[in-house]
Amino acid sequence: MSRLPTGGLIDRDLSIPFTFDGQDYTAHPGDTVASALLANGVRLMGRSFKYHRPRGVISAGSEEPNALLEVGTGANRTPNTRATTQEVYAGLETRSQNRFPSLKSDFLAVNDLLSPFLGAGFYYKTFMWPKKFWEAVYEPIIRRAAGLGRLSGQPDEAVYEKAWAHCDVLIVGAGPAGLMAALTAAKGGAKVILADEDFMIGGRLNGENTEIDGKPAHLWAASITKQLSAMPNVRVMPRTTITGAYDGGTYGALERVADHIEDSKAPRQIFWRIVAKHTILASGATERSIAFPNNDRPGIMLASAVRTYAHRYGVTPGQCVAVFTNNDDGWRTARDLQWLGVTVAALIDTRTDVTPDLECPVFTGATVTNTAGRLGVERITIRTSDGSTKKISVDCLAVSGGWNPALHLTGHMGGKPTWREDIAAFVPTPDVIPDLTTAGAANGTFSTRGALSEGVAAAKSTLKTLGLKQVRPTIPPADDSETAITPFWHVPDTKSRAWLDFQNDVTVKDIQQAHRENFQSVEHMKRYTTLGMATDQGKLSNMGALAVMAELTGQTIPQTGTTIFRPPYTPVQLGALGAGGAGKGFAPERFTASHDWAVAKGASMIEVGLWHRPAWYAQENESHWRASCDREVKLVREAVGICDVSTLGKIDIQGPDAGAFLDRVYTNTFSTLKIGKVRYGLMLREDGIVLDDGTTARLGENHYIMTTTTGAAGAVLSHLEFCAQCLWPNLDVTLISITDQWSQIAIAGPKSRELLETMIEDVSDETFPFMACGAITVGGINARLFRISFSGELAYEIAISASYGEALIAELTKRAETIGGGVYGMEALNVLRIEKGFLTHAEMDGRTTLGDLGMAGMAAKFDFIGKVSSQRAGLTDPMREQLVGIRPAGAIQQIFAGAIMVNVADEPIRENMQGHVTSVCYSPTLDGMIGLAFVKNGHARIGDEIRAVDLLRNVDTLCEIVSPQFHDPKGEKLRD
Amino acid sequence: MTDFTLNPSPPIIGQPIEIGAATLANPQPKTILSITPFHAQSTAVNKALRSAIQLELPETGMVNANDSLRVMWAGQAQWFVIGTVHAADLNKSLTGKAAITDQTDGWTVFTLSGLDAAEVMSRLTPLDLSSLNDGQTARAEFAHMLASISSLPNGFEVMVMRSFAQTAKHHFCEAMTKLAAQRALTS
Repeated sequence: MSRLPTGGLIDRDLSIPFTFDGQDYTAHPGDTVASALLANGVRLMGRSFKYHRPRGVISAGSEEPNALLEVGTGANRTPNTRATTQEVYAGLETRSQNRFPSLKSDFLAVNDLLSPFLGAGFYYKTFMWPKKFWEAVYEPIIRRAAGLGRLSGQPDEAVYEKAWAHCDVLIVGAGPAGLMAALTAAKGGAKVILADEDFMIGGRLNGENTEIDGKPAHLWAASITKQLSAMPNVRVMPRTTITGAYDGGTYGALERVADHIEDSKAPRQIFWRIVAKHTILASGATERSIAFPNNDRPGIMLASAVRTYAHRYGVTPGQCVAVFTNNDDGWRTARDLQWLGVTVAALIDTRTDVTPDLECPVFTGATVTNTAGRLGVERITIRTSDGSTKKISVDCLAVSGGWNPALHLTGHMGGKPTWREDIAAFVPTPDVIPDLTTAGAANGTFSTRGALSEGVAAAKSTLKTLGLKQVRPTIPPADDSETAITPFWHVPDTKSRAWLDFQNDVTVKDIQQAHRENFQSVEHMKRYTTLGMATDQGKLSNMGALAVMAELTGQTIPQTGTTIFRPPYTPVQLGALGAGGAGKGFAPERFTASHDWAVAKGASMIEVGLWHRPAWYAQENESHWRASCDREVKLVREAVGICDVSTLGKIDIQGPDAGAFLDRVYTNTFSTLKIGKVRYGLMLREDGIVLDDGTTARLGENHYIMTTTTGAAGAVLSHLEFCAQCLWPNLDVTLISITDQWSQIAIAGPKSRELLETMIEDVSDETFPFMACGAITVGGINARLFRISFSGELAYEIAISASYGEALIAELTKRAETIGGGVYGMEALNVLRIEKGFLTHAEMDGRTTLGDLGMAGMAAKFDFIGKVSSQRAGLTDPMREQLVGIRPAGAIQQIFAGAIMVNVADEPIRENMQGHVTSVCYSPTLDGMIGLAFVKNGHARIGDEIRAVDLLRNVDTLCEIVSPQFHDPKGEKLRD
Repeated sequence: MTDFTLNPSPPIIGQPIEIGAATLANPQPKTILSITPFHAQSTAVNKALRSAIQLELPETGMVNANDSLRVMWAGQAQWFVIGTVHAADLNKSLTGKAAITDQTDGWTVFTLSGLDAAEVMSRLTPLDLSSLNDGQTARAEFAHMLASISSLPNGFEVMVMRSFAQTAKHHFCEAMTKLAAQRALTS
């Protein structure tokens, strides 16, 4: 066991059982999986991506590249979970990944022996030939070998949520700088959000043995957190990673609400969009490693991580530890471990001009030149300042190569960082993200006291910018020592591999090879070697690789430049990004007032835009939709059918210039329409293409109601708004949607008048002739009656306030059923309109002109929107595809919408296309299939034969071109 | 012709729905009328409104209210009169001055109240509700729908077009349920 006898911010009174690779272990509240495994003496936690090298935990935070686990079971299995951030809960099941059959004996570890052949770019060179092997052989093998964890393959059952938050000041990171910034800003009256990715607020203060204000730093952090949490203007968000910086002060944030709880009904994660007037980046810094031969063995860790495990979790990662450093911070690890009673076998400092004050073997001017130990480090070899080598037995090597400010967010808008020679690190360039300032270690200020001061300063300047109250907080006394560093990036060696990117197995040799092959740009090097492209996005490796690149090219590090950091800072599950978007969350649903009634009546629903409309109403003996549809068509043609047509867009148009306005937007004239009459109209886009059609009724001198196609209602209203507001603001006209206000029910069929006579006082042909409209009373409720028809039969539509829509359709249907009629759905409605050759957006598909649709006569007026464009040569060409009807004329009696039209003798290929089929149906009225189609010069080809070929279904139908008006071409029935 | 009567559909929410520390209700007003003044008629409209209902058209983003009635800004050059009002009378007094339409059944009015009302709303709309004071209103996105959102003393009013009401109710209840479960973690 590696748990120290005392210490740590864990609750030693409680034990939590969990498993790793099926083995039972225990942890304490406050443990991560990594700390608990280390406490249980487990060093081997994973295998590397390419070479399947044994790996252990290297860090204690979200930068972890090695200790990636599968967490949870069944549909809830989550791969690539960092053991360093996953909190342990009772019953947690974790598994190592990328190994077979077991973590200790992994078959693919053979890759490590083959490594001379698997260097950078080997894919590109190896899998070039023979060409046809790629798809059949190489790709399947690579795919099988690739990847780390496994997805469950099942739908994710977890609950996720998305949310918005707004604040004056967003503080990213709750270490000493973030806490002081939050306290200062909050005292100044700002609305503050303090977010930290850790479950315990305090940042590095929780992992160090230091004091603030005379008390242990973690206690100070806890007391400030308590103070902040009690303030009404502060939201403290632990377990929340700010994942990206976006325009307008918007930040993405992932809150892990219930990832640390078993079987919670709460959202597992919430993806926040935080809109901040100002942001203070206090995200701290990440320690970096040093590349030396075989530096990837379990037990070789970052020096600061070793301290974190010791101080925060009461765990020592080793019983006999060596420290390898190029800076003073490494000494701290040796000192702290000794103080905790852990043996420090050696301190190896690359610098020659330092004198560490430590009571352990100290080697200055020395380097680690190799390590040994199959599943974990057992021995290191060092080269001392006099050139001699020495082997030291250790079970843990703590490495410190200096610190990199966690400046990733400042790169999200393309900003480049600035190099600081004194700390050998990049720091954020001011103002690369608008309204964002940096403080503390994120800004390259590494002392605790410095971080506290910068947090205060950043908050004070923010308060000033926001015009809020100025406060003068006391900066508590704390450690003020800066760390001295002499850059040292890698131990030169020509034989062994020294790892830079642990997760993607990129070594110093790979960078050297990329350079030899002329990959000069750092961006090219990254992609060729895959450095920094794994799930950790190179948090530990980028700087080391840059330094090696710089050395190879003879440039400085700032001249070499960095690759671009992009969101997200740490991986975000798609489930969180898509929260609320599954199932019904995909899109809003719109329901008519009679929806429940229709469902109860047996309707099968179909989506039209966002609307849900009855497609057909199955009766008991009907096993197929066609049976229902045929019956419904017949009852309209022979008796009376009832249909809810409320979904059509309805736009109320009023004003002294309403008539003039309509004359300009429609191709035909509406100012001359008599009050109490309805007219069919077509409108074009500016480019001369048909936008929509519909009927418009004139209710009064300055009052019209326009109907639009269901799916085009929004587009038409915004078109009209654009015309009214931007094109002709001088026209006095008002527009408002009344689609939802009115339920509109169609009553269609030869017996429609007979039916309405039982419900409405006067529906005579004199009062309501074809295309008339007017006010009525139905069942004591005021309504509007329109004598219009989309079926070709004698027909009416009643508009009534939507709360009466359901009652009205129920009453109409009940009465219709007594005279051989009944309700009908969209399928029958479609058949009825195809039989009449009426248009929908299957025909007005955004490519058709009035001429194509056989409506050229409706463009006689002097001017209207689209008139000029519609006269362009290309739009008046007689060889354009024109709307016709088609009927099967050979043995095959089936036609499919979408089929292409070709001449009888031609091959059905694109070059021979004569047009396409837009709508088809089986017509019970004509007892056969009919269709509408576009055919080149179709209007002149009535009577010709043509083929409709569906290449997907392999159906080739000989057809006759006919008039699109199949039923009652003279329109006698609807005028009857 | 035979005598019959048509009965209105029941409201989408009968008894208010309480989940966690938030309560969803559907206090559907008796009348909603839209008003859009014709050109150069704003003064005349205000005068007529003052005399008919003792309220004027408020500024953009504002609501004028008395005990029984509200006049709410509802979009570009558009206001809603909401409450108990005699539509025919108002129509008459505004004839020639403004376009009026009946929107009573066109919009569903939800109210969300309780300690967690704001937190539930933060799951559903990008609007910064802490900046929406009493007497203010905004057109905003609400769970991918068009909505009018107003501040109430103990919560918020959300108006969506009638056909979207089921979806709005669904999203309200989902957000309330998820938040209540989240609160249960820390309580």
